Amino acid sequence: MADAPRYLGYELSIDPQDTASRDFFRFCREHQLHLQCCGSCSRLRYPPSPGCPFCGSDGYTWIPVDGSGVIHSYTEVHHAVSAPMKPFVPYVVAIVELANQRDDPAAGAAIRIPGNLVTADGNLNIGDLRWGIDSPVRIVFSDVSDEIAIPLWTPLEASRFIS
Amino acid sequence: MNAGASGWVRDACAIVGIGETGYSKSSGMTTRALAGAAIRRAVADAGMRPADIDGLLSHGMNDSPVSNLVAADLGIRPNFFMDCVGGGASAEALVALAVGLIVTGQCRTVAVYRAMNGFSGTRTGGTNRNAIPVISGQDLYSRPFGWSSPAQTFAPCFMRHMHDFGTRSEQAAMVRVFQSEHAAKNPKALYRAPVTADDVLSSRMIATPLHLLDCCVETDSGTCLIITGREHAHDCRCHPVMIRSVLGRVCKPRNDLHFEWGPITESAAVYAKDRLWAQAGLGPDDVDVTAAYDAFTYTSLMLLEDYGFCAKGEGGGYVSDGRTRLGGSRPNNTSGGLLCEGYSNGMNLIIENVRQLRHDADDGCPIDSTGRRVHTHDHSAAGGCRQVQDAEVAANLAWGNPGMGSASVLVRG
Ligand SMILES: [Zn+2]
Repeated sequence: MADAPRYLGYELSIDPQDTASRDFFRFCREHQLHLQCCGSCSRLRYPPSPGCPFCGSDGYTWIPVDGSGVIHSYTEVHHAVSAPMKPFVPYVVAIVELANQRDDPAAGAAIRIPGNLVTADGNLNIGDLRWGIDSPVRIVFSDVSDEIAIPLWTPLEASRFIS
Repeated sequence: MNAGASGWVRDACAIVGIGETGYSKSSGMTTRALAGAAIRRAVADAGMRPADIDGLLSHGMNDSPVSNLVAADLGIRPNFFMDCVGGGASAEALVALAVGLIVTGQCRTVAVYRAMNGFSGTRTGGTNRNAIPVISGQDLYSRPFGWSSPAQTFAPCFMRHMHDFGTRSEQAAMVRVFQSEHAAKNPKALYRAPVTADDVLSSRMIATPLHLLDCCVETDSGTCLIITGREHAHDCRCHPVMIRSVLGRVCKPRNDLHFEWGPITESAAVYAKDRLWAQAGLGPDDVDVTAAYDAFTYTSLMLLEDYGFCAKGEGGGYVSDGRTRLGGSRPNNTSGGLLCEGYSNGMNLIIENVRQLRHDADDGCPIDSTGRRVHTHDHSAAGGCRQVQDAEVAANLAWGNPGMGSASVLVRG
């Protein structure tokens, strides 16, 4: 048996019966963002789940989604509670909003995907990158194993530095 | 007895006993022993014997003793016991279950308890004894980002609140400032030294916008409430506190990723609010004292908005203009709360409001020859009075996470 997949010192384990998570991370490994699309109401959802939170249906297909969005909110973490993250403080967790399903099914709703804000090459130390709420970002992937990559986000105008 | 919304029966049950072991960083006891100690104290407070308890309800996060063992330690055999998984917002939910057990005749008197070694044992942030070595299941979508503790996962809601409404850290800091004043009047409080807004803002950053002093303490404690039917309530040792309305747990339509549903500046309280007040037949203006769950300064602020104590977005002003301090028009978290007194997933916030409605806050006021504490209602001195004068109605606004909450309205019996 192969070694357990590791990311930043975390051991990751996908339950073999959790086919939705397995498929999601396989798409990530192909460096594509795919989301479940409900077979009944056609809404997208994240994170993967066996039933649609909007209509309760259990049928779905995976569809490719443009991996770009804007920072809806974020936190800059200075106190890492887990050992693998301690070398990286301060690091940023952003809540990234996609344009696909804004205000659907209710005002204020949207597909919002949390993930670290990183440099274009996946470095958690984002140094002087310029970003904030409403900044555009795009998805990048950090490969973990043949089956798993972790989705992360990088500011679109990454070449601009604060003077 | 008046029927509220959807068949809810107001004041059917009362909280007649409260028990606490104290709040410390090292209890020196197992959680099982803490639970027994808290229940014994609450039973004695009610003027009962353990054998009078025929229902036991508890909650925990895999860090708490199960109630069939605790029952054995008390020498009792309950007709109903249940231990559920949950942290914040569980206490009110268990109060709601206790009411259901009592009004349907399944139990006569129920003990609701929480025992935790929240500092010396299992810490809420997921470190220490129960640290999770492998990331699996739903955690795959959060923990790989170093995004796991309550401070880390709630913080984006607060950042957006600041962005949308201009809420300032200086305003949130006043939650801590006022509660530190309250804690100075509470001999049980772990942190009794008053702090300033500058102290909060200059404490080290945990996860923006939360400084260390924006975060509650973590403590070891056992806590217990004794609940019985109204027909027995006046036979108890202390003045009864009636359960006017209780609601829990309520969640956003998608609690597993609540950030997707509605403005993230709103908590699940927006789904609980209308029902809470309709059941109570009361509104925010009728409330004399609040306990808005203060896992963080900002949770208190958001909950007070979401339950209608001020307009949405005006929480920063509400918590900083003096209304919420002792002597203000509606004091909040008069014990010092989770920020200063201790952390018991909110059980201690209910216990404090029971004391307030009994008019028996356990402060430093003089005790007369009959053993009764004579409150001065002078809130100016550090060790002064903590009792809200003529408190008749209290609201507990509880928070599990931004997507999940519970609440209750208690009235003096
Ligand atoms: Zn659907």
